[in-house]
Amino acid sequence: MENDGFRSKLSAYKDGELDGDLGEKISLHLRNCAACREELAELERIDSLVAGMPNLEPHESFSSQIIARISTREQERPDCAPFSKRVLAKFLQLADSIFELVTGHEHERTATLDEFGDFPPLSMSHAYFQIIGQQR
Amino acid sequence: MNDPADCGGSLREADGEYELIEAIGAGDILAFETLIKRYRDPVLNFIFKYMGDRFGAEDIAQEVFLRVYRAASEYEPKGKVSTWIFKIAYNLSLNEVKRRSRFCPITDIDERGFELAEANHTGLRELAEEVMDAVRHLPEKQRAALLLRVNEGLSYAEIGNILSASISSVEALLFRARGNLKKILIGRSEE
Repeated sequence: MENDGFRSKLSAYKDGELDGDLGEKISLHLRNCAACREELAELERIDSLVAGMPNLEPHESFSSQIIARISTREQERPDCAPFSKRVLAKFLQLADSIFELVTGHEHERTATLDEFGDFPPLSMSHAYFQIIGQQR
Repeated sequence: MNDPADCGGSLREADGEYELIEAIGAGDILAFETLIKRYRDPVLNFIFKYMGDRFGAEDIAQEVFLRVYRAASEYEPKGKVSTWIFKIAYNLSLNEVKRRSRFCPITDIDERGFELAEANHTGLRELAEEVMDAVRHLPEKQRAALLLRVNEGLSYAEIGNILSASISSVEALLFRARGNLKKILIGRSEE
């Protein structure tokens, strides 16, 4: 029974995770118990097999791919732009609004119909824009 | 016994890691590259051995670093940076394993085989494949605890933090993981 209790603690003993008293008890027990010594050796073999599992070498572009993904995501999310840029953008919006108030919205005037009015004289589009132009 | 100040194993807490995370939070790409260089190998290999799939592991590892970058500005230095990074890696890997298990049971994954770059010798390669396969048949938490302990040398407290488990639970997980792995390997050698 006592042997079973010690055995269940061998894993933590091997890892150096038992408190002083229990650790010392197990050290003493191991001197006289061949079965527990064998069990401890088995645990060490298991760990060495796990530690011996092969490692992967990261791909050469591992870091650069991550940096590229960050850049892409930041471009996609304007709210993630640096604080200074976000403040500047708000300031420019405010300045634009003040400019509109002072200048009386003059820059909103467009000449859309004039730009579309150069169709050939006998075409349907020319006739349409003539009618629209007369109605304005 | 473990010295509490000693992180042990292959990943030791480097000086200035909190400052590094702070710099990353402020958008410092050079600091981020330094962090990637420091953690890329252990994170990638933890995921690879946990999932058993090279290409999936690279994708998940990249996603881990993206999450680190995005969360760096809100990072609170309560625990170690390494524990935080491995917690992200564990959670993402676990989600992926669960997602895959809905479409592809583990017995099907077994037939894929692995690319084992370092195990050139046929006997060693077979043994390595056998061990990797046996590790993948361990229950999720046992597998994670074993890899974090044996390959990364993390303490029970750190593993508990990553797996959201108590220290006594981690002790039980590792005891069972080693026992189960032994049974699986002995069972296969007798077949």
